[in-house]
Amino acid sequence: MNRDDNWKNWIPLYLKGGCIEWGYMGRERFVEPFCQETLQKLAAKPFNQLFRRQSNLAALLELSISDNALPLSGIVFHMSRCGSTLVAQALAALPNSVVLSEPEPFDKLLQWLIASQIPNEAALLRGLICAMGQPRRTEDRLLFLKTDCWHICHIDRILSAFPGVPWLFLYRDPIEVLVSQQRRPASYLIPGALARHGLYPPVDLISQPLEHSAWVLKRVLRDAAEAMMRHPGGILLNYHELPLALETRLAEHFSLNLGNIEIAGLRQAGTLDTKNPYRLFQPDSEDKHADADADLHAMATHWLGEAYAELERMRSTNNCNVQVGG
Amino acid sequence: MNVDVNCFDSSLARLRQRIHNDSALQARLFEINDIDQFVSALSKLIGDDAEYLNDEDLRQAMQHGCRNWVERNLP
Repeated sequence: MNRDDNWKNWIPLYLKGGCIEWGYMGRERFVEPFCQETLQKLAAKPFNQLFRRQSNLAALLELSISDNALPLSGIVFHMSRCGSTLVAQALAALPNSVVLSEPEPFDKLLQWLIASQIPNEAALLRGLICAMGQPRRTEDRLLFLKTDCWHICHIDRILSAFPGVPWLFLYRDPIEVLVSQQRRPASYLIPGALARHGLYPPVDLISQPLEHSAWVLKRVLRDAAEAMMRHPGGILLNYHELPLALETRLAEHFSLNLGNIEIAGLRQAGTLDTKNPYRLFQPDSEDKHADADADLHAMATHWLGEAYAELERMRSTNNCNVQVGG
Repeated sequence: MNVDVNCFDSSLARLRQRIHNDSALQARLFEINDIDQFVSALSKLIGDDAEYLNDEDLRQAMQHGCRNWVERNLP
């Protein structure tokens, strides 16, 4: 058995205490909107309750140079509640793709790398994505990663592991995002929840969850704008460009070779409610604006107005340059 | 640690090693979703170790694995 075969069909289920717990995945695929839902199903299998394997991080170093791994074809960063799940599901609809959507083990490894000096961090990140994104069908050729929204704050570290891989940052009108957070708050926006990622909120926001959300999102938007200036392989995509941009700007940027089957898959994904595939997608921008009261408008303007406007300026300029450049 | 616990641990370790070295067996057992059927399939594999690794032991070991997953993010 060579080093590649050792972990073939196995996947990192979770990381704990400096170790990796591997579960058997066989020919199962990531088809749920989020990786964690697939991992949860795998963990619940009787086999994986009893026969998980454990390794240290060095196993990832071997996998980072595996000949069998799929190369990463694109990374999706985003501000959350902005269509990123649609993008992931559309990419997953391609007949030859593997999509890792917000994989929890990737977040945990980033936390460890931030907390302590661990050698070979780029190879570890690469090895983890190789392990999670193993081809499971003969036709699998493309591998995509959709990160958690706060991972844009670690883009330097992530891109050092994946140099030259095209990336995009997806964002949306801050009022619509904040209304979404107000209706259904994300757990990671609880004040302090992102301390392990170096995001320590100002003391006066500790007891104000929605305003804390705005503060986090300001950091996310700012870091995206700065990343656009530092890393040339990125594009900005606004929610209102979806779903058309899936088969235009995104497809071009990620070098997708779209035939009729692929385009049909992308369009089909665009018609569904991505977090509940049994329902059709309903546009809700107007509804969200109608729900935004004066306080929320003020919050959006104060924390996010400038950063959002800056991204829109950059997106407009980049789009103009692309059009002029042909 | 008493003798029975040692025997149980070493029997389970042998079973795990056997499974981990046999990719066809992995694929076959992975397909079983029903716990009773899974335990039954394992019982047939265990052979001479059955004295130290009965159905109840296997179920408890599975519960332990399940709990570790649930508690994966606890410090």
